[in-house]
Amino acid sequence: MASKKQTLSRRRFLKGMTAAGAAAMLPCRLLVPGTAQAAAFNPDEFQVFRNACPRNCYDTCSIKSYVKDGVLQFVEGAPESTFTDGGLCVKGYSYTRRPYSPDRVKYPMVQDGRRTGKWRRVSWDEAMDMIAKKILELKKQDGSLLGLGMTKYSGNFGITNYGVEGLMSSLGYTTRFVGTPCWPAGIDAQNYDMGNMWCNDPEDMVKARYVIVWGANPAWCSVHTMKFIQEAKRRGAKVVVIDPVFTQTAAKGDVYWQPKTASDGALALGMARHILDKGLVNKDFVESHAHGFNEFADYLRKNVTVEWAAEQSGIPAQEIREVAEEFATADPATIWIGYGMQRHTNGGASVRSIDALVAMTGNIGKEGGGARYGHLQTWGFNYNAFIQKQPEGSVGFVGAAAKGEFDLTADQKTNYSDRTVNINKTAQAILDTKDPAIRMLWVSCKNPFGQDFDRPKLQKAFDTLEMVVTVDQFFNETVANSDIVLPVTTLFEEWTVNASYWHYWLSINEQAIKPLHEAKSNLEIGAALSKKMNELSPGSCTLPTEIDGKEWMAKEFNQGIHDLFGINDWTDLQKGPAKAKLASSASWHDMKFGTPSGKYEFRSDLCAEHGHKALPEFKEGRKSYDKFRLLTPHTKFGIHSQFVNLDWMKEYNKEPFVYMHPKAAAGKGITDLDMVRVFNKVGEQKARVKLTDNVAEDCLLIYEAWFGRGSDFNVQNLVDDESADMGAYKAGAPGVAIHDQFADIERA
Amino acid sequence: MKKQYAFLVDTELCIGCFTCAMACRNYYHQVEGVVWRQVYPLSEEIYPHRERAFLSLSCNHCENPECLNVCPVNAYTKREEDGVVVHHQEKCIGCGNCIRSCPYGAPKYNPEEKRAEKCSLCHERLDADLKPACVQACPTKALQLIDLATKQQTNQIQYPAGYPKMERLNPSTRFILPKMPKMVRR
Amino acid sequence: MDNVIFSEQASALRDFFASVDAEDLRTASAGISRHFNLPMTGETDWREVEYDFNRLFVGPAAIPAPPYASAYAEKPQLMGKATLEVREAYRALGLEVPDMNATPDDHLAFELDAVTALGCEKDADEAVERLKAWFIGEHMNGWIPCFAAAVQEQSGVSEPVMLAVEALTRWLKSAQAEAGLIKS
Repeated sequence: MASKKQTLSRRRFLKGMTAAGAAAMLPCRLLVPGTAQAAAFNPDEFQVFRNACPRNCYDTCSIKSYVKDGVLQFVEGAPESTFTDGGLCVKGYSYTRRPYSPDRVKYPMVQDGRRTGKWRRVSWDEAMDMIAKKILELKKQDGSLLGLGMTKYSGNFGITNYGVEGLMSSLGYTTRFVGTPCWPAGIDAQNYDMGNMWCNDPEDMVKARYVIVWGANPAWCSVHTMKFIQEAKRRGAKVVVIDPVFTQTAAKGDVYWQPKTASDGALALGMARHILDKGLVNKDFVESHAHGFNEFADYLRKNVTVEWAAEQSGIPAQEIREVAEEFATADPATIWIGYGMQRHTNGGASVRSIDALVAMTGNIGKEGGGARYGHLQTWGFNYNAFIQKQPEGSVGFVGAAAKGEFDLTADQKTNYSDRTVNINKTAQAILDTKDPAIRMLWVSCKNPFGQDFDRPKLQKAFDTLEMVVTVDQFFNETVANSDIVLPVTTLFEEWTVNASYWHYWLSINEQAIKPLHEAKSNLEIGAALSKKMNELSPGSCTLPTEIDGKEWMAKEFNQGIHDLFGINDWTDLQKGPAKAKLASSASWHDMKFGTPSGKYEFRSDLCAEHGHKALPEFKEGRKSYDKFRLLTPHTKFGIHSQFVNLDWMKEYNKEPFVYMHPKAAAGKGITDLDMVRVFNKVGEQKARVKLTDNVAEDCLLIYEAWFGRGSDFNVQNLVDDESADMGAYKAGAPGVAIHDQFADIERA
Repeated sequence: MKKQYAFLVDTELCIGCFTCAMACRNYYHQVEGVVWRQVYPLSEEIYPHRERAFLSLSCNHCENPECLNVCPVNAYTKREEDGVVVHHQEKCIGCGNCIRSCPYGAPKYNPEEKRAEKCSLCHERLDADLKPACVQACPTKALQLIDLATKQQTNQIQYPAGYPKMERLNPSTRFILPKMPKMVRR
Repeated sequence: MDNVIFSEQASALRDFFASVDAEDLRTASAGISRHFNLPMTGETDWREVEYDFNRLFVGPAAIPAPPYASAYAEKPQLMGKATLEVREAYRALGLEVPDMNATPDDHLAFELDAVTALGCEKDADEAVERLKAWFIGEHMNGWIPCFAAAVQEQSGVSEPVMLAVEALTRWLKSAQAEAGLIKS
C-alpha cells in the first residue's frame, strides 16, 4: 500500500511565522462571529466545471459544478440547454451529498462470509490479486471464462463506463446478462412498426394541439418536459393523461382517464375503430407511407367495437369516442408512450396499438406530433471503451450472442462469442446456467438486489456463486451479498460524456474533484485488473494497464458526432452542452421508415416472424394471482436505489408507504398510517399505509426505493420475473412485466 | 408603491417536485432539520386528491414583518431598495422571539449556531443580477420572482385556503390556485 | 502536561485511528496501553477487532461513528466547513494532508497528527499558541465528545476500541486543560 499511515506531509514548515500572519490564516469563525448578511455572490471565487447527470433518466441534465479549494460546493443547471433551462431536479440538487456522504464505500474491502458484516480493508493491489487469481482458476478449470458473469446496466450511463463490458471482453468470452428491465417491449414494438425507436424533439411538444400522455409520469420522471406540455396547453392544446394511477402529471392535465391496468391496447384499438368509423383516417399517410392499413382496418371492423374497449378498460364509450375524435381532428396531435405502460405481458402489443393510432391520424413524421417513446439518434460514439479484443486463443460460446439495446457496436465475425442470459431473470439464470456454471459474478453500475426481480430467489442464486465482486458507491443489499466491494467514482470524480434517449443535447462530464478516499472509475478499475492479470499470466488481459479517463473520453468522439452537434471537437463542450442539428424536430420527417417495406407497417411480417401477431392486435393481459394488483413505479425522490438514501432527500421523504384506496382499506380494517404487511407468492414487505383515491380500489402502490442505513425496505420482495411479450428482438431479452404483479395486504 | 420583491407561487403549474426546496439546500447547505423552503401538500379538504397539489413556501418578506418588530437586538432589517427582509445572524442572540411570532413559521432555529435563520430571498444573488436559487431551479416556472410595485396578473391571490390571513403583516407572496382535470374513472 | 507525553499520547491514538488492519490495531493498542497506562485484559482476537473497527469507522456499510469532524458539525457530510477550517489551520502550520481532497483533512488521525506537530513546536510564538487553543480547545473539543458518544452508544464494541476511545477522551480532557491554561 502506497501510504499506509495518514500523516501530514511537511510541505513547508513556516518556522518564523509572524503572529499577525498566523492570525489572519486562522479559521475566521474564531476571530469574528459568522456574518449572516451573505457576501455578494462572486462566481470568480469558484472553479466551474461541466458535468452531466449519468442516471437512467429522460432528462440527462447538463450540470455546472462550483468547486472551491478542491471541494464541490453547489451545482446548478447549464443555462445553455433550452431543454433544462438552467435547472436540475430534486435529485440533481442533492448531488453534493453523494461524494461527501460518510456512508460511502471508501476502500476496496473483503467480506469474510457473505452477509456476516465481517469486512477487512485491503489495498487495490490485494483486491486485484484475489480477483485475478479467481479468474485464472476459472479459466484453468473450465477451459473458458464463461463461468465469469457480468451484470451491468444503467447505474452510470456515462459512455466511458462501457469500460465494464470492455474489461470483460479483454479477459475473454464471458457470460453477460443482457436485456433491460426498462423499456424493451416498446422498443421492439416501435421497431416493428417504424424500423427504429425514434422520437420527436420533446421541445417541439409546444406545437402540439393535442397531447396524450399515456402511462408516463413526467411530473416525477422528466420534470423538464413538463414545461413544454404546459406551454402547449397555454397555447390551447388539450392534455389527456391516461394512467391507472392519478399521478402528478394527471393532476396537471385537462382530462384524466383511469383505465384498468394493462387495458391500454383495447383502449387504443377502440379509439382507432371510432376514428375509422368516422372517416377521420389520414388517407395520405395510410396510402402513401404505410403498409397493411387495410388489413388493420379489417381487423378493427371484425374484432373491435368502442363498447368492447369500454368494457375492457372501464372508460365509458362516450369518452372514448370524444377523445378519439378530438385527437384525430387536432393537427398536430401527439402521444407520449410511457415505459410504465409496456411493463406488461401484453406491453409490446399495446405500444403497437398506440403507434397505429398516431399513424392512422397522420401524426407520424410531423413536428409537434409523433408517437414519442425514446431514441438513440445521438449515441453514435466510438464505443472505444466497449470494444476490446479477447486475448489470443480465448474460448467462448459457440453460437450468436444477443445484444443489448445500447450495444451500438458493429457485429464482428468470430468463431466464439459471449454467452448471454436474460438480465430480467438474473436469479433463474444463475441457478440454471450449466457447462460451465456461472461461478463468479462482476456487478457494476447496477444493484441487482434493489432492481432485479424476486429478491428471495436472487439471494439463493447468489449463494451458489463462488465469488461476487461489486463495484459501487454505497453499501446496498448487493454489496452485503458480495465477497469483495470496490469503491467507484461519482460523476464529479471522472471524465465521461453523456447523451439522452429523449432530448437531443450532448454534455461533457469533466472531472471536477479528486476521487474521495480510494475510489476509482470503472475504466481505472479495469486497468488495475489488467495490470494484475498480466503480472500473473502475461497476455491474459488485453486492456491497457494504465488508462487516462480524459483520453478515453476523447476517444469516444468522431466526425459523425462533431457534424451532428456542430462542434469542432469535444473541447467545445467545455463551454456548454450542444444540441444536435436536426433537419426537423420530427422523427421520420422524410417518411423513410426503417422497416422492410420502407413504410410504416400496420402489418409487420417481421413481428410475426418473432412469434407475435403481424397486426397490432389486442392481447390479453396477465391473469391475476392475488387479491390486489401491485404497482411499484418510480418515486420522484430517486431513481431505483439511487438518491433516496441521501440525508438531504430524507428531509423531504423520510419513509416508504403503501398507497391504498380508502374503500379497500375499510374492507380490511386498515386505517391511515397503519403499519401493513403486503405479501404474495414471492415474499412480503412491511410499511405504513397512506389511504388515497389516487389509486384504484383493486390496486396497491408502493414506490421503488432504497432508503439506506437502517432500512431493509425493498419492493423486489414482491415482484416476480414474469416476462413482457416483446424485447428480445432489439434488447437481447424480453422485457419484464413489472406492473403485472398481484398481492394481498393486512395490518401488520 | 415602493419596489417589493415577492415570490409568485403558481400552483396550477407546480408539480410538487421539491426541486425548489432542494435547490435551496444545495446553495445554502442548511443544517439538518433547518428548512428555509418547504413544499406542503394541500389538505384533501382544499384539493381533494392526496399529495397532488402543493404550496411551496418560505419567508414572505412581509410589508410589516413581525420578526423585525419583535426582535430585541435589531437583527432584522427590511431592505429599502427591494423590500427583502434580511436576518443578520451575527447580531442574533437566539432568543426565539421571531420564531414564536412569525405566523408563517419562516424563521428556524439553527441548533449548531444557536441562532435563528431564514430565507434571504438570495439577496446576494439578486445583487449579482441572478435569480434566487429556488426560482432559477423551478422546472415549470411555477415559482417566480415578482415586484408587487408593478402590474400583476389578475388571477393572483394573497390568501389561498389553508394559508394564514395576516393582513397587518401584509405578506408579499402571491398565489395562483390549482385546477383539476376532468376525472374519468372506473 | 509535559509536551513529550502529550505528543506521544496523541501519536499513539493517531496510529490507532489510522489503522488499516488487525496488525496495525494490535501494535497501536499496545502503544495506547503503554502511554495511557491502561492495561489490556485477556486474549484478543485481533481479526474480530478489525471487523469491529471497520463496522464503526470505515465501512463499507454505513458507519455509526464517522471519525471526521464535519460528520458532526454538518451532519452527516464530509468535506464540510469544519474540514476546510482544519485545512486552514494546517496551512498556518505549513502542513497539508497528503493527496489533498482524497481523505478529508479532518479525519481524526490527521488531527491527532497535527497535535503531535503542535506539541513539537519549540519556542512557539503567540500565534501558534492561539492556533493550538482553537484547534484543541474548540475544534477537537467540539466534535470528539460526540464521536466518543457515538461509539459508546453502540453495543458489542470490542475492548481495544473502547479502550482507545476512553484514552482519546482522557487525552482530550487533559489537552483541553492545557489549552485552557494557554488561553487564560
